[in-house]
Amino acid sequence: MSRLLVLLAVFMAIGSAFALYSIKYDTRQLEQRVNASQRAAEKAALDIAVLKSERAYLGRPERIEQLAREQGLVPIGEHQYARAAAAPPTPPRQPKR
Amino acid sequence: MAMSTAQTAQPRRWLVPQDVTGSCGTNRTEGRRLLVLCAALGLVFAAIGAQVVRLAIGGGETVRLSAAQPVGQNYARADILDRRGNLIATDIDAPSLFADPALVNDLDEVIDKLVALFPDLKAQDLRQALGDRTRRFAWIRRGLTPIEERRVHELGLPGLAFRREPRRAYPAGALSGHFVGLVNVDNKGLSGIERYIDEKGASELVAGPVRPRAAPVRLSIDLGAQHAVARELKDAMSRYQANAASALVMDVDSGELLAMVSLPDADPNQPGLALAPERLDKLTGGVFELGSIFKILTVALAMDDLSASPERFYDASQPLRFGRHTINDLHPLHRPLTVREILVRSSNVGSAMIALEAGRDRQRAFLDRLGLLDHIQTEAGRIAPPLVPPRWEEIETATIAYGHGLAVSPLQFATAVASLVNGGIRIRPTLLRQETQPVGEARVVSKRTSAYVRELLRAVVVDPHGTGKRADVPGYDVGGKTGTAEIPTRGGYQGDAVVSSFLAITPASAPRYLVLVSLFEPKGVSETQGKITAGLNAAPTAGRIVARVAPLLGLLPRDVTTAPHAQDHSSAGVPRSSAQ
Repeated sequence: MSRLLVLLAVFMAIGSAFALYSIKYDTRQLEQRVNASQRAAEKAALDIAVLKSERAYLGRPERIEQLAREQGLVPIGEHQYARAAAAPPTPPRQPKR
Repeated sequence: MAMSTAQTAQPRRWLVPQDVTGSCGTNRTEGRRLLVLCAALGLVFAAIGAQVVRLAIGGGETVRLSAAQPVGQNYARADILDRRGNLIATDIDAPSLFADPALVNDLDEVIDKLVALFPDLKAQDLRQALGDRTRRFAWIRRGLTPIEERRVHELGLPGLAFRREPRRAYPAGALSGHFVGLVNVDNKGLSGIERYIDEKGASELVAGPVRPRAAPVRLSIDLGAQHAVARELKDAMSRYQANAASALVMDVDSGELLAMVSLPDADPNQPGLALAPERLDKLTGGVFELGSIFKILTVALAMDDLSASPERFYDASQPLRFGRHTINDLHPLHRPLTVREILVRSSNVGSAMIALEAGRDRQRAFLDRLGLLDHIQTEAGRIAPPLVPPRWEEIETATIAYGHGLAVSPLQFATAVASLVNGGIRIRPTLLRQETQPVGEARVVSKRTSAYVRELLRAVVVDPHGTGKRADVPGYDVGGKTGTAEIPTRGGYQGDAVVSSFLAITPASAPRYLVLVSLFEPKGVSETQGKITAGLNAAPTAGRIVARVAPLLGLLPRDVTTAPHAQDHSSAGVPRSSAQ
């Protein structure tokens, strides 16, 4: 009886050791993956910051104004405002062919 | 143990029990000892096991080494946005070049090649930095562009390496204006809003490229309006051949600054140039005698402290004499003038008469109430304090009435007038977007006075004799006041060097925005018939700024409801002015 118990205990000890170490290695791998994705996220955040500043640079009002003027656009003038009610009635929608 | 066994009666049996269960049954003391021993051993093994498990799971304390820790720390800073969320300043990840002198093989080659690549590096400084082989770290250049990084990399020199760190970038360039301020080589704020960010704790020390955790700072500035003002001001500067110019747009109720332009401008991307003295921010960094636009305050004093109506007469028929000094009008009428006429025709003598009636103490108290004698500040730092005359006697009282003798910064003056026209509630200038309407502080003048001031400012623009006629913009009801102030020099005033200003409010009946334009030393050109008075240069500039900025800020022209020609243009399909 007691021998059986001892044998069982030995097997349990070995088994739990295996379980423990496999969990440990899994955890390490997970940690590495978490770190890698964190680094990727940080890198992406930095890249986004650069892209945002480039977009702001391209969209700076000086450049937009120049482009708009080349298209024949000008700053809005007081005669360009109108009440919606004063606009001509919308033409009836063409039926789809 | 051996000693104790020798002293006990049954030494051998205690150590080697023949029958454990039997002995437990027969000898209770022995059985108890055995149990205690087993329990103690069990505890020890359990403790060892637990420790093994703990080490296996957590691992021991890891020793971390970071050679770069003490050097090359940098500040990660919160972004700066305009009121609509456009980016004004941000951190971007940039490489910085450093050397490890111990690894440098050929010092001369390294120095030659680096100087060839960066001509502004000094060979002598490099030799000093790299010559000391006991050092392991020396910065060569911070904040390289990607192209520079590639070129250095292609040199293939041992001992050179890069560190990545956050660097400040200002995509809007010179448009971000003076108020944004500057950062130093460690990305730490030195002045302006950048310094405010550090004071507020929206920056942190980091090693390496990291995005800031702090939320972005949202300014009251509207970049679109800022650009429109800058553009009109540049145009005015060349049109009237001025040396410098400044303009601001302020919300009269909240004190928010929507645009602040001072020319020549300063690009924060080139901090070396930004600090040149001629690029000083005229709006906050300098004080000026602003001339006749001060008369706004003087008529307000008459109506508030002296309970005068706009129709009360003052004797402006004769020039005023103080000893050697005489106060004259530019276009004297030789008759008494009403308060309205004093402002509309910009009478120096009339303004002086008002101030003399009120007296020095009441004048001073009034200016103090408006905050014109205080040291004030915005989030971007202190504003140059007003230059109050050391002696404030009768003659100073008279000259301050028309804007000479008390020098203030344009921003401080604009704040005072905004408080006058917004219904009489004192406001503070701010560069941060206000999410809620601030609860008004102290009342500075009565509502009645405020309404009178607005009415008179409108009169200056619409009256046939008004000096501000050229500032009018159809539909926007501009009110305002001109001011042409001679610039004091060592030998008194020079007639041909002036600061020409126009203060405008729109719409005059219920103002939303205040615009203050100043042109520094404009010349007489053919468009102004050779004159340098504000009515001919600053007033039309202010009008153009209002016409362009008001629609951007969502202010609709009054006539939209009645515009009879609205339909003509909608059918024409092409805006009228596109032909220009």
